[in-house]
Amino acid sequence: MTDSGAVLQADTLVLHACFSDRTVLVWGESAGALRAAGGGGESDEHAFSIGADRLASVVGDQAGGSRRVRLLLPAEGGASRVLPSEQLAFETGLDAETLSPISDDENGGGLTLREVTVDAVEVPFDRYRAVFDALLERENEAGGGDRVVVGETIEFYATLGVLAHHLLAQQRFLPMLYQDQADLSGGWMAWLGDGATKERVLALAALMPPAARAAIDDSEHDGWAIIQSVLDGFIDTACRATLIREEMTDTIDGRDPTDVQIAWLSGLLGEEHAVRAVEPTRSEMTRRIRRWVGSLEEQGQSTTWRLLLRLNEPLEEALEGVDGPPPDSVRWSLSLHLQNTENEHVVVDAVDIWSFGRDSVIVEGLQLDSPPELLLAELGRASRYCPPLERALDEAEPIEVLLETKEAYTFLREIKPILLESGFAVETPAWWDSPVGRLGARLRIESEDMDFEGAEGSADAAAPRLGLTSLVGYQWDIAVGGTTLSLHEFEQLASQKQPLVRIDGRWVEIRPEDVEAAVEFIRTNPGGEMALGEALRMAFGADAKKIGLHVLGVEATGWVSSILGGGKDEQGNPVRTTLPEIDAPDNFRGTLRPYQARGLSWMAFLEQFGFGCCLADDMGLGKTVQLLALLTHEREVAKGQGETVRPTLLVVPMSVVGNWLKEAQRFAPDLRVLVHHGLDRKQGDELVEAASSHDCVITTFALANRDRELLERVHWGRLVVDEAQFIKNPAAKQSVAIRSLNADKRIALTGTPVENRLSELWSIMEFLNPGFLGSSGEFRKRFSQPIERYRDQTRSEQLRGLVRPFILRRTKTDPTIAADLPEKLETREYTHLTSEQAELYENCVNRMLHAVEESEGIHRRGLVLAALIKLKQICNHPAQLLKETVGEGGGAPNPSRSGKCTRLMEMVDEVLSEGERCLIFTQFRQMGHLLAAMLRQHLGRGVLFLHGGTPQKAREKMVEEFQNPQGDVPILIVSLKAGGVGLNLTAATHVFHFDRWWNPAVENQATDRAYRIGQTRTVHVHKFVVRGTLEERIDEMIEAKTELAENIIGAGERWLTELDTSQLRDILTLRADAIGDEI
Amino acid sequence: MSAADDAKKPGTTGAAGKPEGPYRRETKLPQNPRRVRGGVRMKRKEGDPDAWAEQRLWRICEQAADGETLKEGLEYARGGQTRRISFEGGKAEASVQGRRSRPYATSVSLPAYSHEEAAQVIQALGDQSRYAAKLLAGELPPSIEDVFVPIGLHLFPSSEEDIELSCSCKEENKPWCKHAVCVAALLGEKLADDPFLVFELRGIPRDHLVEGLRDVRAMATLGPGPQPVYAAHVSGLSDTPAPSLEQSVQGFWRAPRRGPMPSVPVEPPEVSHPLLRRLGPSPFQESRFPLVGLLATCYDLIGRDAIEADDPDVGSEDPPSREAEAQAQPEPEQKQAEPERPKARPRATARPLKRD
Repeated sequence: MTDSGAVLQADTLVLHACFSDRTVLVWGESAGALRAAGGGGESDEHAFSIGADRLASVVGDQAGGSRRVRLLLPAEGGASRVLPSEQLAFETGLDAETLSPISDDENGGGLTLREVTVDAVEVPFDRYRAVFDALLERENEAGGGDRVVVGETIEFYATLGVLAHHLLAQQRFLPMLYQDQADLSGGWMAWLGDGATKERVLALAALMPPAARAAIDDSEHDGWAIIQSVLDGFIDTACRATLIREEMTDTIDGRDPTDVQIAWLSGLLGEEHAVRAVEPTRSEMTRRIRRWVGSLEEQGQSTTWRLLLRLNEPLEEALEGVDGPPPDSVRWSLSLHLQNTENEHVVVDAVDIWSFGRDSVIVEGLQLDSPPELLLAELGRASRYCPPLERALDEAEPIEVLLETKEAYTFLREIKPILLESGFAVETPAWWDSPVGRLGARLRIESEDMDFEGAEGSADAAAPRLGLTSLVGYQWDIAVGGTTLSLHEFEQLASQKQPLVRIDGRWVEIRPEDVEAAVEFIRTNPGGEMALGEALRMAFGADAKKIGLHVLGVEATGWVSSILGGGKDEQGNPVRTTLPEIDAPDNFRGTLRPYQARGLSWMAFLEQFGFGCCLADDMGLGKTVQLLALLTHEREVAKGQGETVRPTLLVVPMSVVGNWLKEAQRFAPDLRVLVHHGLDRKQGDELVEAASSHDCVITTFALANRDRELLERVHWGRLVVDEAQFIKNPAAKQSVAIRSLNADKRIALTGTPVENRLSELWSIMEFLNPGFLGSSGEFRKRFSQPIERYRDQTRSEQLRGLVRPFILRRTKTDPTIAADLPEKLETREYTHLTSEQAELYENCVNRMLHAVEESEGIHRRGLVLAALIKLKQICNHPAQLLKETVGEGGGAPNPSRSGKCTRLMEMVDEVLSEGERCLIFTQFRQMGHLLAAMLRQHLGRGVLFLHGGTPQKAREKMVEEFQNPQGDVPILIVSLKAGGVGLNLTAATHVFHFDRWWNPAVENQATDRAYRIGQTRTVHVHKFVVRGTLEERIDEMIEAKTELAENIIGAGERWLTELDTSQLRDILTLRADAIGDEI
Repeated sequence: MSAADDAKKPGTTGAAGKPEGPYRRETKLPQNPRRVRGGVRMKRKEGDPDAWAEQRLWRICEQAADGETLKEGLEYARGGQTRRISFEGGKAEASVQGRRSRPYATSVSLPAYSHEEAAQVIQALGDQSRYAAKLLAGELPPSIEDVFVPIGLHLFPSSEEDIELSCSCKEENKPWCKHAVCVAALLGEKLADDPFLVFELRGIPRDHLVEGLRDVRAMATLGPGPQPVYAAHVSGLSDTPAPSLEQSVQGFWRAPRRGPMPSVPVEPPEVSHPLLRRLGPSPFQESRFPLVGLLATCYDLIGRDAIEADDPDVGSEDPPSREAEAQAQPEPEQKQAEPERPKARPRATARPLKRD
């Protein structure tokens, strides 16, 4: 063990889990030890694993004892050096390429496995969830000490514990008898043989990393044996804990210990596992329990046909005028059929079956053998679970069984699920499974009608401040479908003790066990007034369990109903009330696409009521444009009323400051925009004054934190956060700083699907509507944990209901949006130079200008061309100019040394979070290598790179890999002169031109790899331009289609060499606004 | 060689001493047997059999019977000349109507395995979980004969000696009469539908086979140490080994696939103790102790604990509310499902249940 004594500086620890000798174990690797050891040695010990003591302190006091475990781990072929795990390699930046599954060279092929020993700590089953929950939490914790990273094996075993817990709650376990030679023992075992459970286990098994079965023991690395053993161990421990606490052994105390059942139970109910039995009881016991449990897997005698029971409602005539409990004389009919298992629509009725005789018949082309015999056999099998069917067996040729209303209810509630599990088919009236048929509680929120004045009305000053703290009237109703019942009516119904009653001509279920709690709840919650936020939390967060009634949702009147978007209709579909529409403001240069106009209206509408809102449209749908339109609209409205508007503070990542400025100039030239950035930025009163004379102040996240006190002095009309994922860590300094700023309105913009990232969602909502989702601790308990750990659908629905009013997310694939989009969307991404780049750039320009002064002809041309290439390289990344190489312990160069690279990393993140794929084109092969390394490091996953030197075979393989819909390599970098003409890369929907050919035809050819026949979605083309450099000036010339530009396009870069020195100076000299560091 | 080929050259394999004439080819049924109303008919009207089990038997008929008999037997089978047929007791027994007024009693069967042979067969099948799982699911894998080769047996007949025939038509020197062919054809069709029938013909009843397979499978579980007497099959897992570690060295540290995790809510089941309901009465009927009732209580207690352990509102922070809540909720499922059984808390006692 190389704990290498005192590792003084904070270390990074990567933890893993495995299973050996019926125990789950946690072990780990240390980055510090890896650096010290320089990789694995020849010894039998794992050279950089974490020692027992340190491991115990990391895992925490919940963990069990230490032990040694032998593992089979990947090692370099030939040399037997054990390699670090992928996670450790990623953390340390070592050798990332060696381990990535796909790389353009043939690395990674020579891996073998090697036996090593590591220290590990046990995870006792009684503290299993606690240990793994703590480990998963530990990863999220910031703060001092060692950084803990959990490997995917930890996640896998944690999930296994969650599944076991689910099986316990669902009662999917069995008492079992175990045999070991002559010894018998009892135990509780997970039962995985049922349809739904099988699917869960299969899905989980598919997520099992090979490392989770690395331990060398009897299980022989068999994943299935491990899964079953862990589930069984967890379940047996939990069962016994409960039974011991309930002192269940008392029930068999003093009974005859030789009785076979008592013998079995004595190994099940307490600490004791042993089952004492002697022959012949012993083998009889084994045989009978085996047969008993095995009966769960028994199937009917036909594999292609099964019994179908159809519950038919009583005839309408018998129910004429009935409101409330049905008369006792009413009968439901349970009719008998045979159904084909593969073609479920093929159903044969009992009447026909009896007429067929013993022969085989063909029904809709499907063979059915001896139908009467089969029906009788199936009825016999089903009557075990459904006692009323015994009445059918008394008849010679039964067609149906008549049920009283109570029997029908028992059939629906209790028998149906068991029949379905046992392989029968059951059809019940549609209302049974729909929310309409169920009685429930509905929250009614009452608020006044309020005119939304839209374009003509006041945008700010005169509008009432409503928001989540405003008081609204509320009341709980008992309702079914569209009908609301008074408490009296409900009590009347309930007193009849009939589980199925008629209300308004339809059947409704009243669960007897719900009634008491429901009456109690309604009595103690008579209604009144409360804050809107509170009311919404109640409507969406209320537990059915607590109320004793199924919660049907919320119904609102007045302005609240507009916010909620109309609630749900009877079928549960959301009804969108139409928002007052706002057209593009007059001073807005450009047209808004229809969905953009809707976005504008939506933001204006929510702001009017004092709500913060989040526009979460996909990248490329024009969030910037929509916000600029909102700002313009607001000014216009205020102007019409002679009012002034407070300035908007726009906080953005450094990498997009330039973009915002450019877009503002283009679409909203009347907006007075101030960039608060750079060393010469305004300070103190100067800024406060300047802010009031501007419409919009743009600053960066870093400065929002650093200049916090200064920015707090301004009363902002609106605070906008672009790329809201930058405040995803609620505790981070910049998140806190931004939340503390003083603003009337708040908007967040983000391109990532926030609804699925829960802590990010909380942080953004906390920024927009503080307090709405509760404290972060409450939020984690109520939502993050159940949703992330258990995929709890109910909680997930509740959360969606809560945040839905405040988030507008449109995706490019949404058909209504896609119709508004062109097939190809082209945007320029303006980035900046870092000061390192700027210095290199200016030096290069000066040296070149100096040199060309003194030279002529071919020599001069050569100087200019060489300098041009250098300038382009500097714009890309200093590492390209400085010929820094990838790897050799240093890992990839830091992307933040280049404005372009920083922006590319951010944009690629967004592309991947949308589940899309992208192509990245560069002119330079070396830059391709650098990008590949940076992206690998940044994302921790494989990246494809196709260049001129890639052999044909490898090219084909890459294209196939990239195009494969199941594939997992969403990024392809291409550096080819002709952009790889002939390649078909339609899996990509984003195309980045990282550096430019300055020849639209060449660029289009490259773009057309993705934008071509076979492409069914919008292709978004991003062209990178560095502001203030030759890139921007040449881009402008091409855009303006100047005469000069004609030359450019015709002759590549040669024309530049013909310019005189002053012209050159003009084009190449760095402008002041080019530089932007995160200072 | 097919039936049609044989029919073209009656001279070579013609029936001994039987008059043959061209007129017979013109009639629908050979020698005008008495028509049978509602007789058992073969479903396949033309062409060769599709199912391999049926093909196996038919191939032997083709080899053993002469062309004309084959053709006539098939026409009997298709024409519904079989008054009754049963497949019980390890043989196909039928009553086939010929020309005479009295129908012939015909039977076709396979030699039954001896007791030891049957045990060997079950052991061999059980050892190969692939076959056992398929069989338990009601399927007969075509490669099943591979299991029988090492123990020197066949499952399906491989030659005419493997088939035992008898027919009351008394054509002693010609065991393969048209009646036998007719019954064999019907048997073939039945074999294709019921994978267990061939075992029954061999003297291993279905129940015996299924139970035997379970026993063997339970014995043959992995590794030393205690093994459950029965383990569920999860097709795709329990019968499909994962790739070896050596094959998994690429992507060793990561999940093989990025998939969504299935939903695993910690919720009570739709009906309480569903497995117990499906299992039915205790396997030990002679014992008077109410096993199932006690187990039901155990299930409810365990399930309740699992749910409470996870309730965010019943947390460690606020223990008093936990008690209050437990009382406010009448544990609905339990009350509904088991009216006879008192609530488990505070102390559970086992009580006899109706169904025990």
